[in-house]
Amino acid sequence: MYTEQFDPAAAGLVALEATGLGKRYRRGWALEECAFRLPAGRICGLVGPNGAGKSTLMSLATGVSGPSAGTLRVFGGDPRGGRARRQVGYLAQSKPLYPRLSVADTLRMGRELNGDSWDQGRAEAIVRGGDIPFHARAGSLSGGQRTRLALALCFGKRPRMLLLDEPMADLDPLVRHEMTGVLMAEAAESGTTVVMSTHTLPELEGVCDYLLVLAGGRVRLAGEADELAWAHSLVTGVLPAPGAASPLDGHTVVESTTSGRQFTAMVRRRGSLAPGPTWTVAEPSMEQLLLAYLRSPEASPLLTPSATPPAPTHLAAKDHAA
Amino acid sequence: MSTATLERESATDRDPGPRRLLHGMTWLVWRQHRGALWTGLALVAALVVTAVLLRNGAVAHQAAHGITGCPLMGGPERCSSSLEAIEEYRGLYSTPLRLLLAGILALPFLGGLFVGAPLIARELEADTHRLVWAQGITRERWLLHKLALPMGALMAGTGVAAWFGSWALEGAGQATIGLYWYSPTAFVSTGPAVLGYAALGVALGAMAGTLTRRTLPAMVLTLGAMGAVTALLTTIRSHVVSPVVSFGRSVPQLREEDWVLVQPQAARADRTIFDAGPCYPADDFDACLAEHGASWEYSEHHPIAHMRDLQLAEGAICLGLAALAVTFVWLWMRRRAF
Repeated sequence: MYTEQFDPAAAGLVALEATGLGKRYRRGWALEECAFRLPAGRICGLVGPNGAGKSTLMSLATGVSGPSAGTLRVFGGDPRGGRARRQVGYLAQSKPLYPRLSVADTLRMGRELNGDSWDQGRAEAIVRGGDIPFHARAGSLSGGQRTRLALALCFGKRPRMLLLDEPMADLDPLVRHEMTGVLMAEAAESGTTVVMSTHTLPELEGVCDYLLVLAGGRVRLAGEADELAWAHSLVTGVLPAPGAASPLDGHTVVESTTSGRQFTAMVRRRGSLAPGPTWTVAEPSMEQLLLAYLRSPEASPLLTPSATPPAPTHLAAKDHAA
Repeated sequence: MSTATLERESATDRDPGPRRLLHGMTWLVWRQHRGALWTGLALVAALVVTAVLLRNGAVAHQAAHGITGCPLMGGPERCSSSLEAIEEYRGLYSTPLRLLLAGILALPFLGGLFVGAPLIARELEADTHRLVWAQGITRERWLLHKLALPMGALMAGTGVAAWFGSWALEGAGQATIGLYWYSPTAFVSTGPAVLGYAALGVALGAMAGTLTRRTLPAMVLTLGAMGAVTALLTTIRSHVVSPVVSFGRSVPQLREEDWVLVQPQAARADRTIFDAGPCYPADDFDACLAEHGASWEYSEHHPIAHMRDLQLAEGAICLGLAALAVTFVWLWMRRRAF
């Protein structure tokens, strides 16, 4: 381990780092005791039911509001600072654009308001990829075209991290597929860290390689998508007789459902878990895993090592040691 | 390289507009308000042209009829003999001049309604504040440009119009036309107070936008607030600067252009006004007054020399209110999350 000498956060390899992060509104805590790390260069799905704190986290990361407790750092700096403001792109769910500005003027606005960091060629290329006429008014564009223009504005800014609030929610499947392609290609080409919030789980599969799951204002899961899936098993079968050895013994059960003697359980493995005479063991899909965690708020949170911030809050890391 | 490639690469370099002159937020504010700017310029131009035509016509008319500088009553011999000419002059020029001054007075209201009110409200309505706040400029810079540029433009426009309005009124002759600087129509629209009203219009509009978050209600609220402020200031304006109080044995010399707040009347030695009603039937009015100990004359007025002070004071009150409204918008923005 080289973490003793090397601080990835200081070297700019950590896009987001929260320690003891809390945000309180008049109605209560929207985020509480959040601690996680998002390495740079990832495409991270920010998942959670409505009211889980996704939007709050985004607004903290954009520096529009400040935390009530703890800290949130963007590439090692305060998100409210000038450096972070230039490094972070944000796309609101409604994909707002000035309806009376033409496409060309919308891009010009990006250039005028972002100064030297603006990449006109890249923004224009994204717009051109959708055959959007430059003279068209932004208000006359279709949903897909709006999204494309909004993404062009985002990537033209050349952000190191891009925050997207439900970017695909209002798109039909075909356009959603197209926009996902644009997003992935641009992010891969530029190495931009992307955080996209969503509550439609199938959107994540094949797009996000990192996950941050929030529920009730707290972090439930954080880490590489495949590692998180790999740490769990989906066990289905017939329950053994009472007193006999259960396949779930010694493992952490995240969620289990039984109907009669039939059962299905999502378990976090400790040691090996082999198929038995009356049950089978499978690797869960991302959607199954997320659903299990979202349905069981009492299950202990899991953060992979790369998602665990340095001391003092990483009880979950020990949990994961197996 | 083919020409097609070159053409494609310059797709947004071809857009017209004074690129070098306007950049950053200045460009965006201009781009968003250019329609309003042209409309405003056309309005100011129309008012200026009207003012020039009215003044020239009025000056020529007065000269032709020999009534230059004549009040309707109490003037020298040449004036009292041309009463009909003065009446005719008033009939011709009074209404257009009043309309001109009312038009100038309307500018701060129109600016508040059509520029100030949508300033924040339209952004909130279309969610575009999230778009612009996600760009590379600070929100403080955004708000500063958004408020200062329209405010400056409106103040400049109304200032120019008011200068011409004042010039037209001067040419028309206050006493001759029967329209004085202290009348509600002329007081704001011929002096520096209009600058304060212009700033207040935009500031109240922006504040209304943060409160209602919708353009139309913000416009209604702006109109109501501006109307209320105007009504209030019209009521209190004579007390903003202390009037000249005359108290003595004789009636003070008042000029035609003076704003008389309390007509010269009988008063007692303790400066309380005496109701002279009971003395009217008396044979010797003065003796009757002396009998009641009211042999003094009391009056309050603003000489025309107070005009600029009064207008400046009212402008300053408006600027102070505008500063409060801007502070409110500023604090709102600082507190507002996405």
